[in-house]
Parts: sequence; structure tokens; C-alpha cells
Amino acid sequence: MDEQAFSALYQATAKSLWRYIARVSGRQDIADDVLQESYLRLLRSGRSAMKLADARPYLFRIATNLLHDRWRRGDDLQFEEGDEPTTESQPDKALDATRMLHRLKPRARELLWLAYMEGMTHREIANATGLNVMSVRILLLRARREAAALLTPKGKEDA
Amino acid sequence: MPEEMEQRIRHTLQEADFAAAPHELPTPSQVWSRLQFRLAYRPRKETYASHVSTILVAVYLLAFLMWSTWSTWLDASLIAVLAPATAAAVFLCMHVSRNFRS
Repeated sequence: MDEQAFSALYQATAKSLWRYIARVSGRQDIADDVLQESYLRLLRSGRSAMKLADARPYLFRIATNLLHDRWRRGDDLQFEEGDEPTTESQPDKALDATRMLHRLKPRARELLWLAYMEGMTHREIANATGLNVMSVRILLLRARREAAALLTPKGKEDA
Repeated sequence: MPEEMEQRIRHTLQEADFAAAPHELPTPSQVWSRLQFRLAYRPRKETYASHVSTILVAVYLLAFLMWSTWSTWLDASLIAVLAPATAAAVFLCMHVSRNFRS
């Protein structure tokens, strides 16, 4: 892969990939590290000549695996408490959103992000996470329920 | 799951994304040069060089022990021992310096 091809790939994928890593890990420093490592692994893999449509899920998969490796090793906290929202328009609402994301399990964060923010299909999510399509369906359903429970006020949940 | 909840989850994720501190990504050329540097100077994979040099050193030691304990050997045997020893030493030096540079 030459610099021009890399530049096109990077511009098409880096922003969404970084946001995914940052929101799932909750830390910008990890997102920076994992982003660079993901592209490095793509170049090393010998698959750097693949089409953009194939490279994108492959990069998400590398990033997901790298995050799992870091959590398994216990290198990182799974979510940083200090990742406070900066929006000034509706601070309470934004804080709620960040807290909800914080309280979800890491796998649920990954799946919900890929489904809702990246607009991936079940098959694409399966490619990006290394799960099979059936597992994605089941885990995504659980993640939705988990998120719904967090978003539903306590009183209403019981009613 | 009701459509309303689906929308709410999507909206919440968007809010969380919007709420996060802004971040500027490095440019493609910056990342490219960093990656090229890392590709060029990554730790070299295990090669056969270290195994070959270890075997050469072992052969030299064995030959030296045999030669020193068997006095009836000719002078040629000394050369036969010193030649692989020199080769092993050169090989090891090259291997060590290559690893040290990377």
C-alpha cells in the first residue's frame, strides 16, 4: 500500500473508528493508541490492498480485539470516570447519556455503537466483532434491553 | 422492542458522542510516517540466525573439549576447531548488533 492509498483509507475510516474506540473504552488516550495500532496491524497483515468495504470491518475487528486484549491484561480501566461531557446546551442530559454508556457492559457498548451509530447490519457487526450472526442477534437484543432498562425511570419500570 | 425505545437508544448514543471532548486526529501523512517508522524498526521476528549461532558455538565447545583432551590430534585439528569458532563469533556479533539497532 502506498501513501496515497493509505491516505484515502485513513480519511474514510479513521474518524468513525476513533469514535468507536473512544466511546467503547471511554478514554481518548486509548483510542489514539488503538487507532494507530489497528492501521499498523492492517499494513502488517498483508491485506492492505483490500477494498475499502472489506478494510472497514477488518479495522473494526482489529480494534475490538485490541480493546479486549487490553481489558484482559487489565492494563486499562474499562471506562474513565473523568470523561465528563463538555456540551453546555443541555449538560444534565449529556451527562445522563455518558452515564448510560458507562453503565453498559463493554460488549453491549460495542454492539449498540456499531448497530446504531455505524448503522451496521448483523452480518457486518459479526465481521467487525468476530462473533457469529446468531450471537450478534442475541447479544444485541440483550444490549438493547440493558440500555432500555437504564433509560427507563425506576418507577415506570415496575409499573 | 418499541420503536420509541430504539429511537431513544440511538438518541442517547448520539448525545454521549456529542458530549465527549472534541478531539483532533493526526493527519494521514503524520500517521503514515509513524507507521512506516514502526514497520521499519519493529522488533525482528525470531530468525534461524540465533539457532545457527548457538549450534556453532556448541559444536566449537565440543570440538575444543575433544581436542584439548586428545593430545594425539594433529595441528590441522586446531584449525578445524578455530574456523567454526571464528565463524560463530562473527555470526553472533552480526546478530547481536542487528537486534541492538532495531
